[in-house]
Amino acid sequence: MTTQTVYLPSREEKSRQDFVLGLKLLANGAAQQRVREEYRRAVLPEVSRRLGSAPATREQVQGELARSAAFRQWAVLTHKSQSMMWDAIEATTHRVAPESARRMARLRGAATRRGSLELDPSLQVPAPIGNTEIHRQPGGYVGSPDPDDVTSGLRYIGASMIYSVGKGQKEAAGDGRAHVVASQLQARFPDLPAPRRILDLGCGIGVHSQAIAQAFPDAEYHAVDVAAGLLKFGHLIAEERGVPIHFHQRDAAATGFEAGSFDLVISNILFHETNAANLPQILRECRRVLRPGGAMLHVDVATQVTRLPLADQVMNHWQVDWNGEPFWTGFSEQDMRAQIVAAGFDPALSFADHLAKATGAWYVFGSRAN
Amino acid sequence: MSVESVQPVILPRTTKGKRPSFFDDPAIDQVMTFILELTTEVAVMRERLDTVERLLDQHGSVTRAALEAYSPGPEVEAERTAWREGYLKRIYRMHSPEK
Ligand SMILES: C[S@@+](CC[C@H](N)C(=O)[O-])C[C@H]1O[C@@H](n2cnc3c(N)ncnc32)[C@H](O)[C@@H]1O
Repeated sequence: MTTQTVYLPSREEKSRQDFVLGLKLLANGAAQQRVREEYRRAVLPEVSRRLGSAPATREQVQGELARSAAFRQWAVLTHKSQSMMWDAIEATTHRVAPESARRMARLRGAATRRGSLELDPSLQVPAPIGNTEIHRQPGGYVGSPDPDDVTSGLRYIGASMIYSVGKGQKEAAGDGRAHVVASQLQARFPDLPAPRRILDLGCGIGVHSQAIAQAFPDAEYHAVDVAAGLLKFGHLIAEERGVPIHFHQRDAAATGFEAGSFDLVISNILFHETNAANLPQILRECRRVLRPGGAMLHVDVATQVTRLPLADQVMNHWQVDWNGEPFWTGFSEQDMRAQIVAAGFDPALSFADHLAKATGAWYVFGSRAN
Repeated sequence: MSVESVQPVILPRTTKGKRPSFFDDPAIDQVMTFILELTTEVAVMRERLDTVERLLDQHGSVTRAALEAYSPGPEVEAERTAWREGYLKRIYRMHSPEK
């Protein structure tokens, strides 16, 4: 189902975006495969000889691997296809921006809104969102203070339509984005009573939020993010679709909601875009706002170093330096179950597992408040 | 709150500003960039030409509005995807001298 009617590429824009997707698939597919082959063929034997034993850490192999032609080609292809992706998205964004601003202005004056939008210009936006262009998105997520400027949201959905598919996730810009969270809620908490209040942390433009909110039509749905640019667009497309969501510009680590006031707390790919200090605070905040018996479920990227071969760890770490993902490796080194327990959840109820799906691999973690 | 989590909002880097070089000789990066841009434009133009030809076959004439309104059916979409995949494979072979 179409979740929005704002960001619609023209034929030619679509054609270019489709081809850039092809380049991204090449980067993430054949080019990555070639790096792995080069690692096995040349780098691993060489490093093993030098060390006198097989390498055990990324640091021991990354210099050698990064000097190989296969790695350099992969790097140029990945970096350049990302630049080309943003250029292609910019064409559509630029074209639809005036109409989006008009719609936003109209919405702000409308008395018929089913949800709400609460912005806090004084919020200290934490790193990396506050100081990095995530995935090299032009201008970052935060956007301008203009209440009708939703361009960072336009770029975000444009990238969702390309980038996530480039990583093999179909329907990533529509309701499909909620699929893992929705199915894991069922699988992990089959006996959870219908929640009355749901909190969604790091909601971004809230595309998955729409699908979850519709799955629990009787619940009051609160969605929190630090990036105003994404929240404004999220509010626009939720209202245009008639899904009641209350968007708040707040830090997930200090939401200001009353203790014990939520039955369910979720997030979708939030934590890898936080930072080492923020992450445990967010989990403690989840514990605080959950009522006894309430459930917490988070889905994030499955890049945990404990399960990735060294060559893949090197390529992942490259994202930190070259793809605007400062916490990508930091998150990969976290034991989220240990973090959850440290935040005050019962170890017997806490979990952190890897999930392999046809649409990609995920790291799923959560717990239950008692 | 930690120092790290209260940095003010500044966006010092711009996507367009930074031009890294992954090969020791930046000319190699430049050539790859050049090829990728050119390749993309060829693919976009080829798709547009394909649309022009199909519209001419059907109607004997074509306008810009008709080009924009054209929506490829699943069969045309599949044909185009197959071409695109073959094309990308050929480009990638060119990028890899060892094969
Ligand atoms: C990868 S995006 C995911 C957005 C959305 N959940 C989705 O699935 O599209 C991560 C989001 O987390 C937000 N974020 C990062 N740190 C945050 C924090 N401390 N509090 C609230 N949101 C945060 C970012 O602004 C960004 O919108």
